[in-house]
Amino acid sequence: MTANDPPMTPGAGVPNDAPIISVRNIWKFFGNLPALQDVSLDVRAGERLVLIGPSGSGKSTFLRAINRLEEVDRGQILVKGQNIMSRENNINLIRRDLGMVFQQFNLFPHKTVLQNVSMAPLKLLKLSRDEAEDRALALLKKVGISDKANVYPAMLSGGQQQRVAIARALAMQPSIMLFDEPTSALDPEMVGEVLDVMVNLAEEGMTMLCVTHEMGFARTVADRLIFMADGQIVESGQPEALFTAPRHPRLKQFLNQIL
Amino acid sequence: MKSVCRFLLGCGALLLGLTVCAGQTFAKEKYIVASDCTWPPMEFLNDQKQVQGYSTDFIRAVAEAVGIEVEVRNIAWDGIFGGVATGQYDIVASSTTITEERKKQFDFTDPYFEVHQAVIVPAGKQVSTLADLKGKKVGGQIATTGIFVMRNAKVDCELKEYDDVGLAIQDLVGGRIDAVICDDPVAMYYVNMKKDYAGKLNLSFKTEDKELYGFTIKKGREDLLKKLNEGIAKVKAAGLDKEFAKKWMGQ
Amino acid sequence: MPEPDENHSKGNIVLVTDGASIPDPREWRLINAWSISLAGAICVLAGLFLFSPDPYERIVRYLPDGMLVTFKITIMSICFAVPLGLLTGLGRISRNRGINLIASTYVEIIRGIPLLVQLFYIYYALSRFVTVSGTTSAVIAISICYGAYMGEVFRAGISAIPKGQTEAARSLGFSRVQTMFLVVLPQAWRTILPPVGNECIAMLKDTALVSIMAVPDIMQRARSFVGTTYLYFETYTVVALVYLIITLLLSKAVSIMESRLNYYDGK
Repeated sequence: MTANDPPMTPGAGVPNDAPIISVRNIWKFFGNLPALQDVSLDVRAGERLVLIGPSGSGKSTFLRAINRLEEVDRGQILVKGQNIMSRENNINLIRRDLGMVFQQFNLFPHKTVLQNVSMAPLKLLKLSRDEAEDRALALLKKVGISDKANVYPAMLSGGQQQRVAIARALAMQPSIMLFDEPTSALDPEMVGEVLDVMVNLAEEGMTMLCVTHEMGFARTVADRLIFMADGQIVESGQPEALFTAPRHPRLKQFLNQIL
Repeated sequence: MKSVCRFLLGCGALLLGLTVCAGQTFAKEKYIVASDCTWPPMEFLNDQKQVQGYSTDFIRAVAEAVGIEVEVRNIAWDGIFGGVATGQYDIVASSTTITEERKKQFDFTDPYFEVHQAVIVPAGKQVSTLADLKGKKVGGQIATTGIFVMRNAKVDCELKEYDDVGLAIQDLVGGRIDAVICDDPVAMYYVNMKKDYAGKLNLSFKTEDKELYGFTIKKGREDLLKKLNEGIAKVKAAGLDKEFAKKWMGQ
Repeated sequence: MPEPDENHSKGNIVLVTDGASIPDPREWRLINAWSISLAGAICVLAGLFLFSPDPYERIVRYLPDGMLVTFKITIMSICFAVPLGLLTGLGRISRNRGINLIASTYVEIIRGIPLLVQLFYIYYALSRFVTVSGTTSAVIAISICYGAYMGEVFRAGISAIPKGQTEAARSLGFSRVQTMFLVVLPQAWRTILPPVGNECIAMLKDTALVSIMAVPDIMQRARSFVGTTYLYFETYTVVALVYLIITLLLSKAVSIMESRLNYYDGK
């Protein structure tokens, strides 16, 4: 593929208002333990979803299933109309459209900050070095860390590393961003700087799925709040509604514990 | 308790063994003889892994003639002289050619056999002088006179030094090298008597210079040297040497 | 998720053979085991050469062409063994059962056979089908043997890289192969280098075995010299010192390379 091609082409015949992500009845087992039980969910373009739930509820597994870091055992996941499990669709191309940010940052320690961000556009989109670095620098500026472009990740604080990780994911210009507990590994004083970047991103209209324990963020940013327990979506809806009037006893119990 | 008993018993048995050994040594003087048993028919192993061959028969006859006992052991050629120098054994009976260089380091008995260097080539090939080996790959056993002769001849060839001559012959048959140089009885054995190589080898020529085999001992052991020379003389006088030659080389 | 190999292999690399102890790159003191050994070896060799030129000068002059052969065999073997080790290591972690089985069986078989036997085997047994020179079969045998050992080093080094690195690369859209070569291996190399360097040094020492195949390496030159002069003690003293000096210099070289690879530690 050449640099001018879009990262991926949507499946033919998908209407514009079709969900950008469509999850149909997925099951995932770790050994005999079901981690996801018959989960279904539609996400529309521009929607901002926050997934909450007790640990072990399957919310991270669910998020990771969407870009096939976890292979589901049953069910179907369509991203822009393309079945991600199908052999006909190249998962590597689909993943370009799904940016992912991890709890542990997972920056490449042997690459500088600039190289971390420019590497994927350089090698995958075949941009020239200048183009890739320009794009990387613009993103680093956006996450407020352009002065650290030429240092190695080991010299950055956790918050700085996570902001670089977000820039790295954005460098492929994805239409969807997946955040897997992006602030859980951070010292409390660094949580804010990362959340600020995420809020900015949300305001720009990015489709976001975010697993987090930051209820303030969920309340202000989320269009829809998904509460998961025991591998199932127990309750979902407007964040305000869920926080003020939880219906399911599991959600009530959960909110009591964390608020 | 049981294990202590067993230990004491073991110690006792060991002591007894040692005493018996010591007793035997005093009864008849015993010498250890080292032979590199890769040199048929001069010294090699039979099917029962016992040392046999011309040199072996010869040293045993010498021992019998002068009333000493010998035990022949198979020792690798590479290092055989080091062992006699450090006293690990008393006599080397291993087709050792008496050379000036070797005489500087060791004592030799009177000669007990005479050989020439022989050059073996694959059947159908022919060389008649060492100079003909120019540009060829020539194999021999490491630190043997065959190698020295090739080296002193200053022929521009690639010398391959093997751990034993059998491996060199194997490579000659396999086509890795062009010729093997070794003592003529050994050459004749491989060319004529070894079934596996029947018809594959040609003993092309022998050098003019003769070499004499002697038994090697550490310098300064005059009494042993005297005894061995006495024995060699007796064996030759009795015509046993010709008998051995007939037995092993069919001459 | 069950990862049976993870605990076992994380961070600790097993030294499969004995090479040399690679000096710690952070060791800065002038006097340490390495410098004492090297200075000692050089002084003894120089001393012998100066104060007792006969026979030591003769011995030292006799060995260099053997040294060249030793280096030649070592370098050629490294050139084959390292890629073979990498392939084996990748095969051992491959999800493809067939490839995994082939790689594992290869390692099992080779590790169970002494190098000396492998050398003989390749030299004499294979000569039934093809005739290869002593040097070639030495390189083949050593490469095959050390390829298996290095395969284990590569496997351990690759497994020691956190899974998050692979996931981050895959989530960007890199393929499995791109992830391995752009992200995992460049990092694993740092963990792998000291044990691989160690294997290479062990390899250099093991080339002494090739003298049985009439390959004129240092060891065979020494044996040949001893064969004419009977100077066992003197010759093997020099040979031991020469091997020692070479391996000490090599282990230092590996150590320097290792410290170069630590550039991104943030220290």
